[in-house]
Amino acid sequence: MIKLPAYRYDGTTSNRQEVEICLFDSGEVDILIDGEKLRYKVDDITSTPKVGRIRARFAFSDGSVCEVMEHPELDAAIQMLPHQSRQNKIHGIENHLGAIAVVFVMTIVLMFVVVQYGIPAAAKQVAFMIPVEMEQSMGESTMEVFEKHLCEPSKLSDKRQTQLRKKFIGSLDEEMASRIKLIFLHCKGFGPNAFALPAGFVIFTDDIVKLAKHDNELLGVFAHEVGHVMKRHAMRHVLQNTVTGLVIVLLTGDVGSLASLAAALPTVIVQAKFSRDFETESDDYAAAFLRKRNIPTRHLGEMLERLVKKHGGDRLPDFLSSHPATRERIERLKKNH
Amino acid sequence: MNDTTNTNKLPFEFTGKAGEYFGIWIVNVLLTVVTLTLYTPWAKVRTRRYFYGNTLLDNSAFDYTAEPWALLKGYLVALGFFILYYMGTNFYPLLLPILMLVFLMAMPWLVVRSMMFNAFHSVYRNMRFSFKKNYGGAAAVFIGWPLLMPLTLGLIFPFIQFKQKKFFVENSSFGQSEFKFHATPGGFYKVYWLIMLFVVLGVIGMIAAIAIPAYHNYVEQARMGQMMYGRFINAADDPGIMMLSMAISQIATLLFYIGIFAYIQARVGNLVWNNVELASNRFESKLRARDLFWIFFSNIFMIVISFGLLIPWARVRMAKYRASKLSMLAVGDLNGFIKSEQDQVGATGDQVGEMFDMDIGL
Repeated sequence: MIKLPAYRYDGTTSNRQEVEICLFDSGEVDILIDGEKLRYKVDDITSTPKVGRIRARFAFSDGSVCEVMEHPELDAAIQMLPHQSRQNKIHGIENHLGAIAVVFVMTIVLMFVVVQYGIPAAAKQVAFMIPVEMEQSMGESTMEVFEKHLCEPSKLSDKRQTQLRKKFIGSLDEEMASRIKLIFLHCKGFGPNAFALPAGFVIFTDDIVKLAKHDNELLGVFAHEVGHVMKRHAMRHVLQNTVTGLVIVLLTGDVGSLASLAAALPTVIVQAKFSRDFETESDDYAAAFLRKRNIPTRHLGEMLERLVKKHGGDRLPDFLSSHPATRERIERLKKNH
Repeated sequence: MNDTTNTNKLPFEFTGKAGEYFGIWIVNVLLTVVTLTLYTPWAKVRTRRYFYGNTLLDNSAFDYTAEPWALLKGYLVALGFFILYYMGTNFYPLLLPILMLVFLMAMPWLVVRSMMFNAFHSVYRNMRFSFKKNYGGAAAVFIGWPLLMPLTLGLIFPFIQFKQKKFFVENSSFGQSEFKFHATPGGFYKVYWLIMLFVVLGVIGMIAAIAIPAYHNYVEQARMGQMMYGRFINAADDPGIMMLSMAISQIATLLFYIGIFAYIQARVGNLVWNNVELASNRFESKLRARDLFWIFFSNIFMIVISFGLLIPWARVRMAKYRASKLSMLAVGDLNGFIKSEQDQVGATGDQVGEMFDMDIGL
């Protein structure tokens, strides 16, 4: 026989009675209230799943509930009840130090695998199933911001533009050519740079064209941007950030509205990592692109060297940066020779 | 008002422990990730049951009785909405105002359903809370009154908040006993006048400093930072660099915001609780703005440097503080409440009601 101290609430009023629950091996259950006795059977009782050390609740079939105090024999008593919850297995893990340690390590490893491989691989699969047309309005609205607010029309001569356009577009196969829209702009704010926007817009600033010593250097940069477009980085970028945002929100969700500030740093780190991976993929794409057309990849490396001198090198620790260290990019290009 | 000399002060108490909750939390995290977030309703129920079950009033515990399966459907709807919202606004910016409008129109229904669901599943002494199906009232305080915000230059905001709190309190019941609200709009204006002064001065200052064009420029740049994944090379406009310089230059602003937030939370929290009545029983809330400021600030700091591992600690700490500052001023004991006959809430509302909760979280 197990005797447990409890509060009993009858379910029709908020009255509280201090009672003792007596569970007999025969399956009989007595509840003792001030010398009176209520008789039940174990079948009449449903115990709610345990969470931490909150008080156990025995719900009786007549609507009454007993809030059972912490007691050495409580677990044994719960074992006697026929209606068991599967969630008590989870309770077992939550309260076992070794199990928590295992779960902890598994969680860290899993998070790493999900961020490193899971999300990028899934996004890649999904991105190539979504038609390019989906990107159209996003690309156009971004393009509009570039043309109207950030940059002016290119100051390069028509002849120079046509010459480069011929070289660039001429190097593309049919599928690429149908996707890429090449645009030259004069952008004071950005210095020498090139951009790939959603829906295949590729922008070259006047400054980068002037900085190049050889047109093959520009072709290398162009190939890198073509890589962004053909590998669907815009779509994958949006997909990956959506999923990451969702996971982070679910994990930190009810900490309170201010805690979203605390979630900002991990979000930035993960998104920067995704961005670096896209850049590396585009560099590899560019290297393969050049090799296939018998153009040495060192042209792209030289362009990078020159740009570093102009922009003044990397200013951020690696884990926060949207691009891999330029030194590493150059090394990788050499290996890709 | 009652004779306060005859009342018992019954303290609220939170008995949860950070270490214990860590075990629950980390298992929830693992299962949420493994199940591609489908475990979320189970995680939510376990978390709520832990926090409710550890909250004691007069040594009786609260309980949360929702079933995870009932939440799953609502979670899936919310998930769909989230994906539609995020993807849609990325690819079709015009979709944003439409989605916002739909959400605004649905809001009274969502608020009421969510309140009904959560009240029904909140139990104390085997007696359920309940919330009235008052869609008209919800529409008035969440859509009607806020429409006057622009006309009154926001001066009506404290009044709207008064109306909203009154709506929440007065539509709630415990058993057959309805909650009553004794606060006045004046009380809310007392909380906000200082902040409104700051805001008004701030707005004037901003216009005077012609900060608006600069601000636009900054927003545009931030937007571009988001979209320029395809740049060829790192430059000073890198989102990371922008984040870093923003973080440094805005720490003071951040502290200021946390301060205002803590001030409002403490003052409004006290104002509301000190004016709630349940069958002649009153409440006493003694939150302090400076305590909350310190807790908010240190919680955020610890969560950041621990890469989130101290989230359980932060939550337990917050719950402990809030409970320690709240008491019930009871007339006699709490035995007299009687079960309400109409406490059956339809299952359809349960599930979608939860979606609103979810959307607040998102």
